Amino acid sequence: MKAVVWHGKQDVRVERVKDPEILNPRDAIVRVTATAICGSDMHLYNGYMPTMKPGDILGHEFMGIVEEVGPEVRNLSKGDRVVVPFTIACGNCEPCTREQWSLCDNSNPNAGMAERLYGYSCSGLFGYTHLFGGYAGGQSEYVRVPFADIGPLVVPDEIDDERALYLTDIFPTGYMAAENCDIKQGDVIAVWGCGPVGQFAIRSALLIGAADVIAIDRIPERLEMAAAAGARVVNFDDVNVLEALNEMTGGRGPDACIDCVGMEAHGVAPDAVLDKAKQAMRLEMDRAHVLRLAIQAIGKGGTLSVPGVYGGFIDKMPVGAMFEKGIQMRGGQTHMHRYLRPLMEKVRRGDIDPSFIITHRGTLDDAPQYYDFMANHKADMVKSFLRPNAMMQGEVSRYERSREEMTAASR
Amino acid sequence: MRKPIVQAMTVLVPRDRVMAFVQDRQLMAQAVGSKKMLGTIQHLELCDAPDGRGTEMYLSMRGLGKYSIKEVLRRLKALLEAGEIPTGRRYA
Repeated sequence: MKAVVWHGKQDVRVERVKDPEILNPRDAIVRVTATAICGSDMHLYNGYMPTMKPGDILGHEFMGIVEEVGPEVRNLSKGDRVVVPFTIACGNCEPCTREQWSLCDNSNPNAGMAERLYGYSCSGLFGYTHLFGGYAGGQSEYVRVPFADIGPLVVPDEIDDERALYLTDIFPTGYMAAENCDIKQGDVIAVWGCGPVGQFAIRSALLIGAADVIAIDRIPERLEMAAAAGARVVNFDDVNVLEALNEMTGGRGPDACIDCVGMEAHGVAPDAVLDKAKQAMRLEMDRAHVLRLAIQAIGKGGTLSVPGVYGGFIDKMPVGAMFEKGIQMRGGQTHMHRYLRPLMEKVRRGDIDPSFIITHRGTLDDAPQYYDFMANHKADMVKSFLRPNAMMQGEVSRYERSREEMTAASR
Repeated sequence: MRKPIVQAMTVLVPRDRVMAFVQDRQLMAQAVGSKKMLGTIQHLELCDAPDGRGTEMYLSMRGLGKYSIKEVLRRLKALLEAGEIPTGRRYA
């Protein structure tokens, strides 16, 4: 099969690799019909997440058709059209039974490695380093999906791939980020980063009932997209963000701030420049400029929600501001399994059409170019929608071959 | 004499079920890695976790460091809770 393979910093290639197989009783093999490149894939592309190995298959946003199931998967059948959550969960451990699915105890085979860095490990993730399991990703034609009796959700026929695909990460991630703000009537929410997760966080905050959302970025197309959703916008190249937020909230500061940027924050402030130099020299893992700004900006007793990915250690955190203002901070990988079903229902009802986010449609062969577009903010890219080449070029995989053989045998 | 290295892990399974599992040599060999390795188990203690949170397992094994013992506990927990040992491999 074809897959998008990581080879090093800013080096991804489309290559032929061996097809996946069922290895455990709760596995399924999914034939990918649509996939996408996530903003968090940029941290892999730019070489900031440790434990990637040349040959790793990328991608954690994908959906497709079930081709094969293991003997313990009784709720899915061959031919089912499913979305697959990017976090992998067993469904039986304590975090899973508490609906903290992204903290599953059993799905990360390399949990020991993560424990040495973080104390405890989060769940396994598709296509996202060996620290999180070394699972092959979905920017490929086929994927082995572990614990398939728990994760994948069948998509109703009336929801097409373009509206379903983003249920696999960015819509639930944006939604959980907004939900973590514990939004009350009259609340003003500031969202840093108007990339895909930021766009869904903005829309989710408004869906949940925020009185006002202020979106912060510097890329005009992304700010326009945020404004179209009903947010007021701030271009951080033009104004002092802290002063702007103070003024836009009548001097109270936002009730909650959402950091959708994560470990690769841009900025010209001294701390941002210092972060960049330290990160380049591997003296610091994350560039936390947005996190610091958000802590400063947030009003008294406010909430800081962090869906943006951070990988390790950061310097110069304004912990004093956090403590003195009584701020609570919430974050983590998305508890995908908690959100898939209710958000799919919102899509089915037409409360939101996630396909608004798509700016580029292509095939797996376009992935290397799209990674470059996304990492370097070229071609006005916000979000890709990729079809596997096999679907477009009529290639034959081992699954198609076996199906043809079965059909021939039954004649 | 050196104090044995003990590692702990909680499994969301009642103690009687854990007990039945660890007494099954076939199943335990899967967790430990092989039947031969079963002989290196020095001490395995099972206690009820508070408020129905399952069973606390305390394990020490001869010749293994703390990370290796933790991996054994992790496999044991995965078999007990999830019914299989997770793998990030793509094919056999």
